[in-house]
Amino acid sequence: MFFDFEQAKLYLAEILDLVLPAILETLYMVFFSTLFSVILGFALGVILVITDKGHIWEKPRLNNLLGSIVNITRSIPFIILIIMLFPLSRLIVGTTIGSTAAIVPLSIAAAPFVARIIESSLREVDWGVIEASLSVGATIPQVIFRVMIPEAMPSLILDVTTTIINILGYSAMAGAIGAGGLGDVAVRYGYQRFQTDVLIATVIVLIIMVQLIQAVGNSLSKRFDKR
Amino acid sequence: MIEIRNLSKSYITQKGKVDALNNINLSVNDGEIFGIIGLSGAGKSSLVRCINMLEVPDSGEVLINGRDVTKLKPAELREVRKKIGMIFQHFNILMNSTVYDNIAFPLRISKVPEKDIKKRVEHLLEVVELTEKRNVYPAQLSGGQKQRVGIARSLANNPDIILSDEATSALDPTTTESILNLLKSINQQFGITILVITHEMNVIKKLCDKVAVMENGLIVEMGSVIDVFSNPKTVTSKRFLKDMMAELPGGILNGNSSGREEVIRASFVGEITSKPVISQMIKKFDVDANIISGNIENIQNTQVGNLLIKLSGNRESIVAAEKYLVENNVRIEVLKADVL
Repeated sequence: MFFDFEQAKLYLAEILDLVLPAILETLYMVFFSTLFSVILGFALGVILVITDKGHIWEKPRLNNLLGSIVNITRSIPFIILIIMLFPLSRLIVGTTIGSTAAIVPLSIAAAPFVARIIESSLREVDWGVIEASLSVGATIPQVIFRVMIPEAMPSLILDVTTTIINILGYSAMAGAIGAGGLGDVAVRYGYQRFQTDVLIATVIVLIIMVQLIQAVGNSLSKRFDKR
Repeated sequence: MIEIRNLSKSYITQKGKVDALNNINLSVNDGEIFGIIGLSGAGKSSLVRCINMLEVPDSGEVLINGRDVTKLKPAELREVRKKIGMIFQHFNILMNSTVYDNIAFPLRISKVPEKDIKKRVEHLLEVVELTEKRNVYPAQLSGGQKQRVGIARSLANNPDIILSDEATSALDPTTTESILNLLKSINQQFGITILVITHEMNVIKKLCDKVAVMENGLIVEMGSVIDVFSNPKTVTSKRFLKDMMAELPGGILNGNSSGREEVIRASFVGEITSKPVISQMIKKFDVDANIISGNIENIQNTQVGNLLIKLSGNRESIVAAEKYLVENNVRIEVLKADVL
């Protein structure tokens, strides 16, 4: 059998032409969605912990309210949440199509998930250590930023890692309804035009991305873990 | 000076209301080492936490140098807390911070300049003998070393008072000994008042000047350690002292018919332990004395002796002999009398 290198090169270039811009779009969406959802989810997670019964800023009503909001948001399937958040995307970004528009629902969909995992990581901080810091006169913000977060750091890093990977998956779904990125390429070429090779290429790229993110997350977490 | 007045606190549990503290009154003088002993659940942990308001009492006052800490605003309370160090059973130090950063923690949150922090922390590292471990993380330290970090942290703000919540309960006997010595020397060097919570009589014996015995949220006995040790009045105190109280073995009185027999516990405190009181008693009175068991403990540089003696003879001699002991400052307690 004769192998045509020229042909192969052309073929590869064609796929790369499709996939490379999609990778960039995906990275762009994932980066900003992670950023916003972590900011939002972190704040929520911290408040969920400290307002709980017996903790440093006991506020049962606020705790219940936030808990309910988080649960409700988490029970809406992501694909439906995107549609529900179209008006918000239009309001903030001016459009509902494209990667930038997708950042809005992605951030909002991931935030309650982030809140819950951050909450559970912060809860693992030994109460005794918090009590000890209160006993030397620490304020509530000092307890949060100088005790709870540093003590939970290794597990918080893993939380963010999990979040990035989750958002990567969500972003592919968002691609199906016009967000661009790898999901969009996979659906349009791989599914609608039966280009299985493109489908496989996007999947391979996604697998590599997930492996890399997890590896970096694990090693960072280990570096911060002195326990 | 710490004065606790009519302090009460109760919890609602599944089994109903539990009085953790039931109208507690107690005062601790400056420079004193005051021990509170009790079994777990006696309320001693709640009591110590009410002093720096980590737990809020239902009623009563906690006066520290005349100031009622139960009525302070949050910011005022934080300032008061800086002058009350606390050490814990499980050390409660930051596992993701080095020894240095742990000791610097109270100073950093008080926004002390880093230059002054360095000086202070280095001094404290010397006090607790951990200078070589300054950049090590707690995971690499032994239990005793972790507690030393905890002690150094509690000293960082130059406190007037240290609260010790079962600080040696997770440590082995040798380490316990060295931590107790450290606390004692801190008390003597810096004149810091120390309030010690423990369930180990040994800690009270080695460390404390005064002791309060707690049970079910009540202080059942209180006084100088020597008084309470040499003459425990309540069942709870006696139970804690069991190891050092001579116990009466069974079958001791087997009536040798020649007269009366009595088993007495004789307690000696101080100088009298070195006087031959018993042998003089035998010479003076017509009694036989059979020493069943005995021990001498050294508490706060005072000897406390405990003897179980079987006296036999006629009734009058025994009464006279016992009277003689009492006159010589021996405290006696008749455990068993055989009336023949």
